[in-house]
Formats: sequence, C-alpha cells, structure tokens
Amino acid sequence: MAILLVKDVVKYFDSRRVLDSVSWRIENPGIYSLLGPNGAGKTTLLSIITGIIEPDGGRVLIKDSKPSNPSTRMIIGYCPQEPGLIGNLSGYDNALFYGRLYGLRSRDIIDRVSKMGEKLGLSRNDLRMKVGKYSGGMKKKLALIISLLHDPEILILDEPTTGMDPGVRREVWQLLLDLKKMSKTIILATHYMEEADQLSDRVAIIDRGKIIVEDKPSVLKEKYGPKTVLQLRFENTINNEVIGVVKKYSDKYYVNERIVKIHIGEPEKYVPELIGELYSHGYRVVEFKLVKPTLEDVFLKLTGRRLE
Amino acid sequence: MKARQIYSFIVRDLKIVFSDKVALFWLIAWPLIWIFMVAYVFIPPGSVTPVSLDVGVVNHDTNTTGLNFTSKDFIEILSNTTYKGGKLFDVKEYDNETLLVDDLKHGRLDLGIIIPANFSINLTFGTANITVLIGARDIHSASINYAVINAFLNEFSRRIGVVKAEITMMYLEKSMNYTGQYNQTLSSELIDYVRRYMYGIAMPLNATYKEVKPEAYANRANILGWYTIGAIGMMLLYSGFSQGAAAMYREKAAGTLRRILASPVTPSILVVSIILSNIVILLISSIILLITGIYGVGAHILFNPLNPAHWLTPILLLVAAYMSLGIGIILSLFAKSEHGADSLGVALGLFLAFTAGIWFPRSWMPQWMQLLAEYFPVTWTLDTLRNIMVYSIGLTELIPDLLKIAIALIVIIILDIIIYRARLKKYITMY
Ligand SMILES: Nc1ncnc2c1ncn2[C@@H]1O[C@H](COP(=O)(O)OP(=O)(O)OP(=O)(O)O)[C@@H](O)[C@H]1O
Ligand SMILES: [Mg+2]
Repeated sequence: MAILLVKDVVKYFDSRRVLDSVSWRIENPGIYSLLGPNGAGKTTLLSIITGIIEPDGGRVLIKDSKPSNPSTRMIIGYCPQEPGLIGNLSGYDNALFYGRLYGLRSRDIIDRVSKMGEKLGLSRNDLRMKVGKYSGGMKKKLALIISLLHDPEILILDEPTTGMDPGVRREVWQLLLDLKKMSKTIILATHYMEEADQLSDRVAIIDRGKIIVEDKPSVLKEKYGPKTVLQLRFENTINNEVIGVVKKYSDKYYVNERIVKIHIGEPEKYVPELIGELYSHGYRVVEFKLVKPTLEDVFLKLTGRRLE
Repeated sequence: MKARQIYSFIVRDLKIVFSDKVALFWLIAWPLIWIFMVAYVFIPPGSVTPVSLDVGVVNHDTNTTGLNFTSKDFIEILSNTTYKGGKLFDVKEYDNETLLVDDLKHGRLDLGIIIPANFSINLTFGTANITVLIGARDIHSASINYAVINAFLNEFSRRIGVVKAEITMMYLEKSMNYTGQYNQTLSSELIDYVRRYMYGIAMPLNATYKEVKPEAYANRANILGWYTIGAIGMMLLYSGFSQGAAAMYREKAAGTLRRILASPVTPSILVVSIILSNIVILLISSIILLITGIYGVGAHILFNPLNPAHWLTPILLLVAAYMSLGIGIILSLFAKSEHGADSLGVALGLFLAFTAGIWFPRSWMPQWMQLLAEYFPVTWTLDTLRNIMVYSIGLTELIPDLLKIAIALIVIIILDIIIYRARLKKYITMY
C-alpha cells in the first residue's frame, strides 16, 4: 500500500490546463520535495492531494483511501502557502480553533503549541499576542505548528520557509528532519533548490503542470545535470555586454549579481578563450572555478529556464 | 466530533467579534444609539403625558355679591379643570394688564385672560364678554393654546347655559303651578315640554369624546418597547444580511477556508457552523439590546415564564436571526466578493429596516411602500414579537401570523439548501 498515489491527475482552471497528467508515488516515510518555479502547479497539486479541490481527471489515494474522507484528513497535516491565520485572534486562539476541528482538547492544544513554539522560537508571550501583530516569519512558524497539532502521519507543506531568514529556515529544516526520524512522511513544495537538495529523500521536479523527473537528488544531478559548470565572479554587477559574450559559448547560464554560472562542454578548451574575450571587452574575472551541478542546473538543463 | 467542530467555530467567531470594536459598534452601539435617541430626543420623558398651560388672569370685576355666577367661580373652574389626571391650566392672577402682556411676550405664559368689570352681572343676566390673549412658546403652541382655551370656554358657556335654563325653569314652574289650579294635567305636560325646549337652547348638541388611539401610542413605555424591538430588527437585518452574504467569501479571502477544508470538517458542517455561530452572535446582541431597552430607557417589554406565549419570544428571535442570515445567503448570489456582499447586505438591510415597518412604523411610509412591510417575513416575525412582548396579545390571536412565519421560514431554508447544493458547495471546493 502506497502512502501517496497520484495517477494521471489533470486539472483545468478556466479551460487552461494547470496540471497535465501528473503521476507521483510515495512508498515509504521520508521527505519528498516538489520543486518547481512560480506557477508550475505545486499548490494546485497539493490542494488535490489534500482533497481541498477535486481533479478533473485521474485519481489520488492516500493509504488506499480518498483524501476527502474525514478519517484520511485526520492523518494529514496541511500547511498552506498563505498561513490562513486569523489576525484578530491570538496565536493560542488560532491554534485552539484549528485544533478543535480535529477533536483535540483545549489543554492538549495549548501544551503542544507552547512546546513546539519553544523549539522554533515563538515564546508564550508571542503566542498570547494577536497574530495581526506578527512578522511574516512568526506567522509562518505558527502556521507550521498548527498543522502539526494533531500529530499527523503525513505532513503536506506548501513553501513553509518562504520569507524566513536563513537562521530560522535551518531551525525549520531541523524540525522536519526530527519529524522524519519519527517515521513521518513529509511532502514539501518549494522553489528553493537548496531546500529540496539538502532535506529530501526524493525530489519531483514540476514545470508547467508536469512532473518532468523524480528521483533521489544525487541521482538527478548525476543523470540530468551537466558534466561541468563554470562559475565566474566579476568585479562589478553583470551587464548585458557580458551576457552577450557568455551567450556565444553556451545558451545555458544563469546570473546572480556578480556571479554567472555556465554549462560548458570541454572546459579546458573554452574557459581560457571565454575569459580572454571578456578581458578584451574590459571585464575582469575576479575568480573562476568549476563547480558541481545543483538541482538548479538540472532544471536549467531540462527546461532551458531558471528555477527562481 | 461534529459538535466540537461547530463549537470551535462559535468560540472563534465570538472571540473575533468581541475583540473587534467595529463589529461591536454595529452589533450593539449603533442600535442602542437609536433606542436612546427615541427615548430622550424624539419621545422625551413626559412628552406623552398631557400638557399643562400657564394662564395669567386679570380680574377687573369687583361687583359680585348676591349673583349666581361670578368671575371668582370662573377662575376657580379654570383652575380645577383636569385632563387625564393632571391640571389643564396653571392659573396665576395679575394686578394689571401690562404685567400680563409682558409675561406673554416673554414666553412665560401660554394664555392671558382679561375679565372686564361687570362680568358677573352680565354672565348672570345677559352675555358676558371676556378677552383671551393667545401666547406662544414655539411654532406649534399658539394653535394648541387656542384650541384648548376655545374648548374650555365653549364647555364653560354651555354649562352656564344649562344652569340658566334650570333657574328659568324653577321660576316658570312656580308661576305655572300658581295658574295651574284650573288645568293641572295640561300644565305638567307643558312644563316637561318647556323644560326640554329650554335645555335645547342651552345645549343644542351634546358630544361625548372617547380616545380610541391604539394603546401603543398612548404610552411612552409601550412606544419604547416597540422601538427596542425595532432596533433589534434593524440590527438583525443589516448584520444578518451582510454576514449571510459575505461569510463564505470572507473565509476564502482570509485563507482560513483552505485549512478548514483540509481538516475533517465537511462543507455542510462548515456552512452549519457558520450559520450557528452567527446566530449566537445575533442573539447575544439582541439580548443586550432587550436588557438595555428594559432597564436603560424603561421600555415596556414583558417576559413571564408562566405564560406559554412568552416562550415564543426566544424562538421568534431565533427565527428572525435565521431569516436574516438565510436571506443574506440568498443575497450572496448577487455578489462576487467579500466586500461586495458585505456592502449589499448592509445597504439592503438598512433600507428594509427603515422602509418595511421595522424601525419606522409602516404607516409613515407611502401606500405603495407599505407593501414591503406587508410581504416581508422578518417584519411579520418582529411584529409578532411586539404583539407578545409589548402588547401581551394571547396565543390564539397569534396563530395566523405564526403560520405565515413558519411557512416563510421553511421557504427560506429550502432556498438556502438549494443555493448550498447548487452554488455554495461548488464555491467552497473551487480554488
Ligand atoms: N483559482 C484559480 N483560478 C485560475 N487559475 C488558477 C487558480 N489557481 C491557480 N491558478 C493558475 O494555475 C497555475 C498553477 O498555480 P499554482 O498556484 O498551483 O502554482 P505554484 O507552483 O504553487 O506557484 P507558486 O510558486 O507561485 O506558489 C498558475 O498559472 C495559476 O495562475
Ligand atoms: Mg504555490
């Protein structure tokens, strides 16, 4: 019996096909990432998996039963992309409201929220405050805690760390790894390739409503990643003239302020040539190195587009 | 489990409402402002009890000895005239006309009466003259003052006429008896005939006055009771309409709907919970308004637990609250967003509160608009509440209205279920 079975799921919004025959199968507990750029269909797929919306074709089974089944929902914890918190209520009151929907007792809810809050750095005082006064990061933390109140076996998280600072993001990652140790299944939509790379047992890459590949991150990189990635660092922010030169050598590249990464074949032949040509245009390369491909490179190679 | 889910919504919404000043304003403060306006601005204390007019009198008539009617009698009758248990005139005697006119001109008096010399003699033997000065304290009072004193003087002269006839008859009888020894039978018929004729001259018309104004408008406490229920109705209409229309849109806009739908709450439990939590809020607000009406402004509102009809009140309040929400749900068909639904609900709710006999009496509305009150089921429900709580009308008289209300309630519930199946459920599960 699979924990999650998604078979040939199709979804239209206003006659636009947003999910195109998506299939996905999860057999064992662990962390599973759904990696894709904005608008790829991650939220839509998770909404179908949680039973919030019905697919127009195909089917979804969670442990052999339909997601809309109330008993299935009892074992699912869902943290939507938008936190869905009530600004006029305190953190505790938000938790009480959602916890009771799962039949939990008030005292148990308060205990659990306080404990997990401590782990993620939400103090009791914070929890007594109205959520309307929370920062974006605090809201994300509370939203995550609330989806864990009923100790679900399967946790479905839609971009849980977006908007968190790197320190807090690592705390959340640690929490997810702890949950994995407790044999939970975590399904994580993200567009951070680092998050998918470092946490996941397996990654499904989704683009334009299709899951294009699905495997262990290491296998994905090995199988679909480029052989070599050249990383160049410049003195100044990169402009169009630099990009014009880079384009001559490869159409698969991406720019991040002063760094450009280029998928390049036969580096021993082309790298000196490229640096020389840039130099003749007056652009000094401060540093160059060959780096290992990341999931971002996999995505670029497969789609010709950037992830973020 | 289901009960706990519904309970969770009720607790959540109560907490939200009681921490939201704007919501509290519309639920409690706004209708209370209207109740207090009615109690202290439009129908201030004492305004429904009879007025008393201040009258100044200058009496030039000194020659009164040995006469049947004197100016002193006139003043005494004036002072003792009562209307509904209160004195109609507050009489003050003046030494001269200048002082009297001065007080009238300064609005310190409503009326002035000048009794000329020989008033008593003329009153007894002929026709007496009297001068009445009509004062005014505001734009309406001159005509009221005129009407009141005119009625008094008419009544006074009529009664004098009757007494005069009586005295004349006395003399007439004496003289007829004297001549009557020749023809006794004829003379007693003649005396009766002449007596009726004399009375007829003195009092050609004998009118009797009866007040047939409805009890409601005669008594301030009842008027305030009527308006207290009106304020509750107004609150139910705009809050219920807007909540019924906007609640589901609001849930989606706030993003709470996603979490709720991913939980074991089914769409039908969700809709029932939202309706119930809003009913609880509307009922709490109604009870606060009732209590303030009774204890804050002294509205006449009855509740006797031994009277079975009075147990209809909580049921009818519940029905009115549901009807408002249920009509709100129907209104949601005509809106596409939280804001649109909210505005539509408030606007239509206030409009109907003012036009359909809920806040303003329907008789104030033009004929065609009174149809609104005639066919609006929330008005039926509130009028029945008024009949029970303010006018203590018995159960049997209420039955036709109760039937109408029950039918309307069932129709609204059926429409709501149809809307839920055809639209709301789809809306909820369509992201
Ligand atoms: N309710 C809706 N009505 C119409 N179109 C929708 C609706 N929800 C999503 N879409 C469209 O479906 C596509 C997929 O959206 P979705 O939210 O699933 O993407 P996503 O991968 O979660 O993106 P992001 O990373 O920005 O959250 C998008 O093009 C979006 O515009
Ligand atoms: Mg999304």
